Amino acid sequence: MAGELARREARAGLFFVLPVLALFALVNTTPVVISFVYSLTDFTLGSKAKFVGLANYQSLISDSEFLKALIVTLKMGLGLALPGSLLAFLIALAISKGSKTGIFSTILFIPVIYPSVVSAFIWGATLKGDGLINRYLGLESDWLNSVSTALPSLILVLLWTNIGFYIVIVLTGLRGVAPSLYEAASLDGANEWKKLRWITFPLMKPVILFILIIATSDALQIFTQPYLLTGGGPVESTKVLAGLIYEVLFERLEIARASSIAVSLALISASIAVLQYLLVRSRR
Amino acid sequence: MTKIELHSKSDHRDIPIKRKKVNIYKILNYFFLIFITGLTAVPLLWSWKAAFLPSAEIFDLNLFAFNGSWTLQNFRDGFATAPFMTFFINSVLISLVSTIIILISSLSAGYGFSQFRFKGKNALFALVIIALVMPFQAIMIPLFLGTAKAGLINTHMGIILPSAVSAFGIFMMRQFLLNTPRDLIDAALIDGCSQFAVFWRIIIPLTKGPLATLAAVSFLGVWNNYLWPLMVAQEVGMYTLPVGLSLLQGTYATNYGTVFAGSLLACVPALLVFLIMRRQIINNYSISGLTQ
Repeated sequence: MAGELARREARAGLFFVLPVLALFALVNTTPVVISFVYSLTDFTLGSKAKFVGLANYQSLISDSEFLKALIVTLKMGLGLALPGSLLAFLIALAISKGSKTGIFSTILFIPVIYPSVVSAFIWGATLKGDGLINRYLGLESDWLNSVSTALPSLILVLLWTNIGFYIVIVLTGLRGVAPSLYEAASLDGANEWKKLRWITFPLMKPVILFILIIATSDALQIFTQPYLLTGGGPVESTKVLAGLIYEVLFERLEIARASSIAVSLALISASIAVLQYLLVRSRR
Repeated sequence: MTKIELHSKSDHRDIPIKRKKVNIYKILNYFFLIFITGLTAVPLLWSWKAAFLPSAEIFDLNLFAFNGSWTLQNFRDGFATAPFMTFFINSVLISLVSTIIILISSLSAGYGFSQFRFKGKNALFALVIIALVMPFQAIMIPLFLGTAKAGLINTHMGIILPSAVSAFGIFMMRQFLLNTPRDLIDAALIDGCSQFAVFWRIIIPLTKGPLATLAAVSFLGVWNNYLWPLMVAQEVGMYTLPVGLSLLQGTYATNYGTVFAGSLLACVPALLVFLIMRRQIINNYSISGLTQ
């Protein structure tokens, strides 16, 4: 009897799960596996693929194009995370101190949900040689076309896009600080600055680390803004990993090489996710 | 002793906070917030304004000048030079269909994972967790070649299929339903409800809230998506708004009026969804820590 019930339950469970998971396997799990298989071959479009083992990965280690894109990607992640978390912290603090500040966090969040293509248009028009910023500053620098300013400009655009998200994360963290801590500190005679310095800052450390991790994993997948604003240039100074994969795939049709870069990206991404998981768990 | 100290402290606290600190700090605080929010909002407002201005006036330095030269010419030009309407319809169709399938599939799998015991459940759920952290780059190459092989390049179906299941959606629904008392479902089953009726009559009404949130987040994700539609849509008639606009900008680089008119079409639905569901959407982001 109990066996029959259990069987019935299992059947019902599979009825709800299996069709979805089948679709899931088709568009997600299987492609992940195939990506890895491709990366072990010398598959290019129009030729017969042959198994080459880890040769693609071996050549990636000394592939200056790949290494450069990796460095640009990490720079972008750090460039987003460091000013991003500091700025988000300041703004979130201001929001949490004031009353009726919901409107600010709502407006600051709009770029997060904005179509990235449109953000790219807006900033393209703002940053171009005769764009708004130069007109205001009376300059003629071509922000997106000079090696020294292209990457910082892109980071600025992404910061504008993501800051609302970082703020929300810090706000959640700030709300998690028990009010009794501040009350106890007040009783001990601490002023506002001391409370900030000795209660808020230490408790915010993991939140900042969290933003660092999110920004890095964001940077790993950023495609639209560099693709539309700089095309990876000038002199590849803004070519991120996602852009490199697209180029190797669609312009050079080197499927195996693109796959090996993609798998490397996934591995970095996965290690970041593990880090994130450990961090979240240690906070509990 | 202690009592007196406590009293005097709290008195101290009440008076200065009300008189001095509040005023100066709060005002500075608001100025800072208005400044930052302004930096965020001005580019957006400028682009909305630009959609209605003749191209010559778009780069006018006085952002708040309104000299009455409003025009719908940019929209007319847009509709004349590129099939904006087709892009818009493609975007709406793809986003709505994807969202609906995401809702059904996430709820179904989330329900199965949360309320039933069966062999291999953990292994299957592991697939969902792996997908949750898998960047799109890790699947896009085989996905594209597979889509091509299946003859789905340049079809709505080809664009929709990969976005129609959401690891995040399944995860979210499972988390929510884990807190549902099993008794509720058992009682309905004992009363003779079929599994499907339980799903339809109990689970769906129960999960209305999270379903609405998932719908909003999914819609935004698909609506704003660029890379996958860029790969699959290869003819003008199949372009979504982001793809169509990005190629429009490439061909008519100088005409920002048209570009921003089209951009407005792409923003309005996203903004509407955001304004209606802003609390849930922001909450969802803060909890998940995951972007699309």
